Amino acid sequence: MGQKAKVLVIDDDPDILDTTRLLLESRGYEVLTASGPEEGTRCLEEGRPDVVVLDIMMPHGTEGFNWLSKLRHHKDPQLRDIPVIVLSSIHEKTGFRFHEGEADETGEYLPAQAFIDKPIDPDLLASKIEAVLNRS
Amino acid sequence: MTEEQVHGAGGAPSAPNSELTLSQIELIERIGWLISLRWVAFVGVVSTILIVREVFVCDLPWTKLLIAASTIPVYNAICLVLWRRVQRLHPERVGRSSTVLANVQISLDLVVLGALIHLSGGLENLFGFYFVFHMVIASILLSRRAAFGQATLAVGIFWLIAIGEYRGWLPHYVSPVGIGNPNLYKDPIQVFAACWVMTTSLYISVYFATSITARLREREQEVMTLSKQLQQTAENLRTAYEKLAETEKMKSRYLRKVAHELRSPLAAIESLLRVVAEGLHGEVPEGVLNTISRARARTHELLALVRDLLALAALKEAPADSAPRCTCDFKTILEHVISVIKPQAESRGIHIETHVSWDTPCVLGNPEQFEELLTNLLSNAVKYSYDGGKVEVRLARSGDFLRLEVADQGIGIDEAEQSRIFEEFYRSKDAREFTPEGTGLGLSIVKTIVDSHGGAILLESKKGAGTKFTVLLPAAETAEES
Repeated sequence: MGQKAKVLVIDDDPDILDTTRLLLESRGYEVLTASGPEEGTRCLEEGRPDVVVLDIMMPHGTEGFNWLSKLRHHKDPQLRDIPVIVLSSIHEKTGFRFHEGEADETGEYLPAQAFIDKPIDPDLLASKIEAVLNRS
Repeated sequence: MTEEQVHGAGGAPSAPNSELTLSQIELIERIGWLISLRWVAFVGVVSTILIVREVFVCDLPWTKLLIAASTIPVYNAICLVLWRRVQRLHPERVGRSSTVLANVQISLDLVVLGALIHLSGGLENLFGFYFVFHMVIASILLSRRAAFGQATLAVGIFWLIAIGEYRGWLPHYVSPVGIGNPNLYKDPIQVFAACWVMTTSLYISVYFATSITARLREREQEVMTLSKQLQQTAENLRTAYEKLAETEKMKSRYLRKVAHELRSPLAAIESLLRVVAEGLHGEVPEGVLNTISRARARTHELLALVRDLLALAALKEAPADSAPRCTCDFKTILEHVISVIKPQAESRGIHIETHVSWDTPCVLGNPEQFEELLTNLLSNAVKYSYDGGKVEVRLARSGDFLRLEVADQGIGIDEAEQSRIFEEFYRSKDAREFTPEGTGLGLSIVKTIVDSHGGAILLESKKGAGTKFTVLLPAAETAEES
């Protein structure tokens, strides 16, 4: 396998952030971390990662959704289309349904390419990263 | 309830309809009936007079008789007009007015009856016993005191006729259908005897009739009170049920919040332990690694519990019809679930065999919940199978239902425990001994999902020989129709 991808992880939990970074780095990825939406945007624009791992539920509610929604309207087309892996399965609480891929007929669609449940299985996350990068 | 309250005698205060006593309500209903009955009585009286005049050769004051009879429609019409007027213009007074009107009507009836009897034979006239009918009507409609008052009036009229005719104050007319002795009115002993019989008959009639009526009213009142109590109880039960349902929802919300809050730190702990276990902070001695691996296993147990609690709370909190529903192909969901569970089954040499019938119908429902249902049933089947065992999954149509069977050859469930396995947190003794892994919530989740989709779940199991769960879910076309 050639050069591993650059991954941006956005999560408000510092432990999750640190461990995800360590686990991904141990698997050869370059990892950027951000503990909130604003820092996430800055890292995104400055670091230009290949993929984003985004925690959808942050302390003030569904900031992850807003962040994702704004990302899809970013002026930079390269950043706008960046693959996103959503962290944690919160569809029960928010009413949103996750779809890996296209929106379905219900229109309940989160503009993300994959999702992964907490606690993160780093091997599963790595395989999802590879899958979304290959797809894009 | 006292007699006065039940009967609401002549002095009952005017009250809105909702505060009327039972007897007043009945009296209001009966005033119209009494007026109608009097029209019939008038026709009967006039017909009788005319028939008697034609059939019997006798000398009775026919004109006076007809004049007396003709007063009946006159006061009846006045009563009718007055009653309608009260009902229309003063509905708040109907209670009191009905009492007054009934008393006046019955009194007038007695006077007219007295006149008719006097004009057609006096004491000899057998129609004298018609006073009794009036007493019965008075006893039913009026208070006991008023009924005895009417009896006294009737007795007074009868005595007046008897003494008046005896003393010659009133003329005596010979009845063509009398009791036989046309000179009865002249014999003081006979006159006294006839008056005594009539007096006692009327008072006794009133006594019996009012006693029976009072008793019936009491029973009626009891039934009414009971019925009101029953309504109140039903209302209380409904309120209690609503409160209970709300409490249950609050409990689920609370549970979900707690579970959700527990989940994040648990996930963080697991990741932290994993970082150490993977040696990302340097080499880990074997003893430490072993301890960390045990800590991770316990963390996974907690995470599984939290996950099941979240799932169950979400199912219970949301109304059955609020979850998004679509037509689901069970076969596809089953394939996905098997692909997830298969590695775990194969690691223990357990073979999963699937039989999907060509006519398996689609089911209308929530695909995530169906996945949850299949995951729970299949992972249970694998978990409680002996190594090298076999799990069979069947999908087919059964009438208007999809029929799912998940059968294993595992440890089975003791018959005594079968009724409890759908309870939250319940794990059978054998299951706990076989593996510590398990939250006891899986089958509760399955049952909740099946129930919310209008389905049914059946269990067949024999200790040591295996378990089979059969789930029936309404086929999509049936569910859509209903």
